[in-house]
Amino acid sequence: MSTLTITVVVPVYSGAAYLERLAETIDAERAAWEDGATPFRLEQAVFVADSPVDDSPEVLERLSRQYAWLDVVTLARNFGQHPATIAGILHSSGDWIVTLDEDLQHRPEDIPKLLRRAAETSLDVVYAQPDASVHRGYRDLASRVYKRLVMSATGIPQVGWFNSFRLMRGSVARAAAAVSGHETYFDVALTWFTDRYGTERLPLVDERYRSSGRSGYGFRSLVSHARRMIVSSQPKVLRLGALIGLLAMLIAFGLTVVAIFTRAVDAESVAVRGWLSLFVGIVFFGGVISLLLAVVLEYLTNVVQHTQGKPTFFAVDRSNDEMLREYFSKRDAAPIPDG
Amino acid sequence: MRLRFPTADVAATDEGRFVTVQFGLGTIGRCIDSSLASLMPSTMVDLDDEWGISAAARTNRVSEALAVAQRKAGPLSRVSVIWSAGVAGFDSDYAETAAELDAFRGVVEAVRQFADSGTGCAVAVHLLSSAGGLYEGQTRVEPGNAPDPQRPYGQLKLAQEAAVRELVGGVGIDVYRPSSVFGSVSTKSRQGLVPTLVRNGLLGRVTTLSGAIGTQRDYVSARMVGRHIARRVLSESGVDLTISHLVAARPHTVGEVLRIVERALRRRVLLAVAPAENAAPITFSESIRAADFAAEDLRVGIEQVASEYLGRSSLAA
Repeated sequence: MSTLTITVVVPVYSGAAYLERLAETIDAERAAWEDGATPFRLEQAVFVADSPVDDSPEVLERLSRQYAWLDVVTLARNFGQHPATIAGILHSSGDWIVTLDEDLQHRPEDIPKLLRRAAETSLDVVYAQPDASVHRGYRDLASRVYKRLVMSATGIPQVGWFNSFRLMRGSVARAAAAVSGHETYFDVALTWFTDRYGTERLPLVDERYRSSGRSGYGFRSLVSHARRMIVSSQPKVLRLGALIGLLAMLIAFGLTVVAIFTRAVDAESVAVRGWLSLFVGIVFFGGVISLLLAVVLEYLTNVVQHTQGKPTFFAVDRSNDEMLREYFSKRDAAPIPDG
Repeated sequence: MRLRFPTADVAATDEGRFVTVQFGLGTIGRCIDSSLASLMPSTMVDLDDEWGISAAARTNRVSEALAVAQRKAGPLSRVSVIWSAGVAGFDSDYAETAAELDAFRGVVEAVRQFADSGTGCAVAVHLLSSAGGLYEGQTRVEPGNAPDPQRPYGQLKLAQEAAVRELVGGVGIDVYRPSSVFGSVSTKSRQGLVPTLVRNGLLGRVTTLSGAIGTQRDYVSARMVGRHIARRVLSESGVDLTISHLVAARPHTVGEVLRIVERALRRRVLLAVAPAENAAPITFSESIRAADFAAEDLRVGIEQVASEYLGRSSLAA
């Protein structure tokens, strides 16, 4: 039986305090897979140093000497989490790719759970979803509201699932990473290549936020994320604009009929002459402008997405999923050893 | 067969009594030659070298060539033989690869005779092998990975390496294993994916890819490989065997290469995919890359190939 390979990608910005433990955990998990004769093995872990602000480069240098499976990619400047993730994915060669945060919020022990979920129904992308609150109170509520707003604006139903702990089929992830420009939101690019998405509920805890009160997602970064998601997608708001324009034109047309009728039947009842005509004119041409603007922007969006690399089609090979399904079903059927 | 001598003023010194004998001026061979020319003030002599001759005849040819070198440069202090020749490729059959192996054995025999002739001249052989041929089907190749050729071409490269190893002891041996090499657009030599995409992209032709859009390869530019080999040729070498993996240690899918070419050309490149056996990925880890080999970013390499071809095309027009 051939073995499927898994690559772990970790963008690193300020994780010096966590990297050693993360590498140890990955190594332990790697050994456990080998001992358990799983049909998958951890081939490499790519740590992408995104111009870290702490001692991460030195720690990574030491870890890369310690673990043969650990590769370090050093970016020339700070590009941000998504570009760093993309760089890691483009350096990978695994059949499956898992992206993890640097701060132990995402546990390598949960990777088989994601893989199992993907294999069950041949999914291409599986996002981890927290089975309980990740942050405290209002932040989780704000996160849900934010995701709902962005989902409405972009028209992408998976937006609510987007998470940096994800398992992706290697070919799909590399294709999406290859077409991603500096303003492309990577998870949106993934939706260009597949619609086979799923989620897996896992215990996710933002250790850094809980211990220090600091989170990687401040207000500015959330706005930036939303902006890039909207720029990368074909925003529903454009169609809403077109609809409003069309509606305004219809209202103007209706008011014109009313104005003509009133003038013909009861001209004396018009207290201020010319007011309705002016109003109708403004509403009508406002509607025309809105409609035309929406059409132009729709064209522009198509051009931008074409330029960004949205594919006409993409072929994928899911034939190895059967091997994983067999393994997981046999493992589940095996009796649990005593003790 | 190209002999390259230092110019008279350099040759006057002991260090200058040095000659390179190069076989093959294909994609990489040309780059080695041009790097040698730029790194060493030199003159060159091209000698006839038919491909189909027997190993014994080739041995004689090479011996004659070395005699020519000695007549021109005087008693030689150092000879470097560079094998960058070959007509076989990934799709070659055993008949084709056998002929090439025979030709190479002729050169090895000539080197052995020259080294044993007691001239006191240091001799080095530089063999261009192939990481792709040797490690086909392996991913993230590390120093511990053993070559496991899957087809005649890879077996040829392994056999060439075995043949040259027989010289260990009296001759310095450098074996270079580059990954997928791309060079300038050419109509003469065998073309790789990158120049084919650049050429067809500019001409608006469809490129038919044998493989898959997600096939991963490790690409290095012929210019960088040539420069590295030329530097090694010109540096003093001992009598050891050195194997250098000239890899970027950064895999690229065909889709990614296509995207980079499109960005370089600023136009869509038409691609048709024909399923083929050689769609398996071949990738390398950083730990196996030769420490002194500088692999440039693929985007830079492709931009250079594209701009060079655009420049040549506009000159031709």
